[in-house]
Amino acid sequence: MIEVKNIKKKFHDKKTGDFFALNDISFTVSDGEIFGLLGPNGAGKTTLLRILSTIMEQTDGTVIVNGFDSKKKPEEVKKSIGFLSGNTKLYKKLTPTETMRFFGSFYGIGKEIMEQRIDKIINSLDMNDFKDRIIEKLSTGQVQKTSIARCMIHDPQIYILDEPTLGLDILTSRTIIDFIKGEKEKGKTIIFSTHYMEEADTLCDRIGLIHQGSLIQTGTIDELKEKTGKNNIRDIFLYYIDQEEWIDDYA
Amino acid sequence: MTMHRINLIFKKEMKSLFRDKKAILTILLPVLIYPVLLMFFIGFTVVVQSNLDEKISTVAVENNPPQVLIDKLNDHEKLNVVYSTNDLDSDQIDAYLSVAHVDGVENYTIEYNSTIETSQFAANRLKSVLTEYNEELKTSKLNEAGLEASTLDFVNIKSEELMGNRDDRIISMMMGMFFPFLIMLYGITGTYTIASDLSAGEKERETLETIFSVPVKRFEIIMGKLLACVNVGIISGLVNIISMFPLLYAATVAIPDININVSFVLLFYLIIMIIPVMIMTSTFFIGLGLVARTFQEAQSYGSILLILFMVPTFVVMVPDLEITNLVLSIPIANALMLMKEAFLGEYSLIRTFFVLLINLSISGAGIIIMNRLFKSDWVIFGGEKG
Repeated sequence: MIEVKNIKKKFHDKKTGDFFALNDISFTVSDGEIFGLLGPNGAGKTTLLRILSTIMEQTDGTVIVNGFDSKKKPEEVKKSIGFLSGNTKLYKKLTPTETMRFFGSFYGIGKEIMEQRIDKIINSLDMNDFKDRIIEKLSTGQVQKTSIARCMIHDPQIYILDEPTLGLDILTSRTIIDFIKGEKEKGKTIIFSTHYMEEADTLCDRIGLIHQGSLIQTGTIDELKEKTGKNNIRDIFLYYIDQEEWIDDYA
Repeated sequence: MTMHRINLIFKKEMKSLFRDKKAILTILLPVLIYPVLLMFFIGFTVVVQSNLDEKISTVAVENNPPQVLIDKLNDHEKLNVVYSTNDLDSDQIDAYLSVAHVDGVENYTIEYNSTIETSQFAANRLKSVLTEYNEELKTSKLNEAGLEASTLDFVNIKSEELMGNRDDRIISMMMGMFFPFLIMLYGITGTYTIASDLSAGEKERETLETIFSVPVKRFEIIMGKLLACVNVGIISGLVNIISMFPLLYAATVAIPDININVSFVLLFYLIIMIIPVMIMTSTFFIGLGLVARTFQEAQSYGSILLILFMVPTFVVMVPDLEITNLVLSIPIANALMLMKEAFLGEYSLIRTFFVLLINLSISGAGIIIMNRLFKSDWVIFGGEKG
């Protein structure tokens, strides 16, 4: 379970001074749920997910991941999550097997269990052909599979995925989508951000709309359809964005 | 902080480095280059020297010097005497000898070009013949007066070099200056080469966020990187030392009086002196690399820092520089001066302790700065938000 309470994140810009990239965000993601975070570029999705995964610290507010406070127990939070984003690239001089072994070593997994998990992941993601080839020589799809493998090695309870399919071709995207579906079936909790409305429609149990650092709406897709009278996520999204901008203009 | 996690980062960095052919070549190049360069240099010097020794000097004599002197010049096997320069191309004359008789004294003038080796050689040969001629004249005149040749010797002068042969002493001093300088130069350059890759390179390759998402503290990551950087600096320095040691050993065999103490104690001492300097330079290069946005930017900033680090290394090249407290307080220069002494077989425990204390203190400050930078979201992620 993920509990986010009144999160704020302040940055400093040389030209404009201090500004809030996240402003008083609160939401909850239940166990076994897929929560989609939708928002335009610069809305604060990446900052929020970085805070949830303890890569970045919030200026104010509380984040509880799997029962652990992200500020007080960041290592326990990290042990509970698997984080994957467009910015989590891999070390090009390592092979997929070495990558899994390297990252797995930080979770205190025993040698025997580690090797069993590596074998299992290699088989489940069909990585046998390239498991011992250095990453710089792999195709985009093979690299993406290795990224997923890296993320799965410690068998986390929660996955935090920041635009995992951004810029990928349809086949590589499918690997990610299948991975998300597979982990959902295992009862894992997943929070992910995306630009692709179809992805959110297919995968998410609930969604949150984030705009200019604020979470403007959360709910199931059906709930949001009912509230807005719109038929699809794209229109729901645009409806709320327009409303926000109208409020801003009025203010 | 656990050593286990630092060790994991360190091993990963070293593995990545050793799979990079360019990096390996940069580190190992001196092993191949030094012997070849030195052999070429020594061979070239020997050939040039022996050619000069063998070459006959053409000297032109003017104003009719006495026949006795002409005979002596002609008897010299490396001198070719010509009497008139009118028919000769002046390029073929190495030196000129002219005589003027003033008050019964023969005044000789040797004209030569000191910038041309052959002309210098010819002048030296003329001087030695003239000295001999002068001695013979003096002896003859004294004998005519019924006196011994030694009558005019009021003082006997005898010089003795306390440190052995003067040439050997000079060679020892040169090696003491040159080798520590080269070892330090390659060590610092080694840390510069890898530091940009470990900091800005990793930012550029977008792998930092990946490692930040696993249970490892940023201090542990940066310490693992620092260890890798220092290790590369030491390897670069060691590769140089190892590639130089056979040459140094050959020098000690070829020149028995050479005052250089090539031993494992020296090797150990050099490593002890180098480590704090490598930590110091690594922390500053990594810190600078973290501030840079790209690998190239880090290299540009680093090159300026590299020049700054190079300045104190030249202190060791200053001849007869005394090791004062001021010199011992200048980082890098202090280690080099002690390395220079060690090459000459002199070790001082107090000075060693003092230098290690200074260099390790600066390294500690460097680690604190580097760690703060690595913890800063602004430095790592810039103004990026999504």
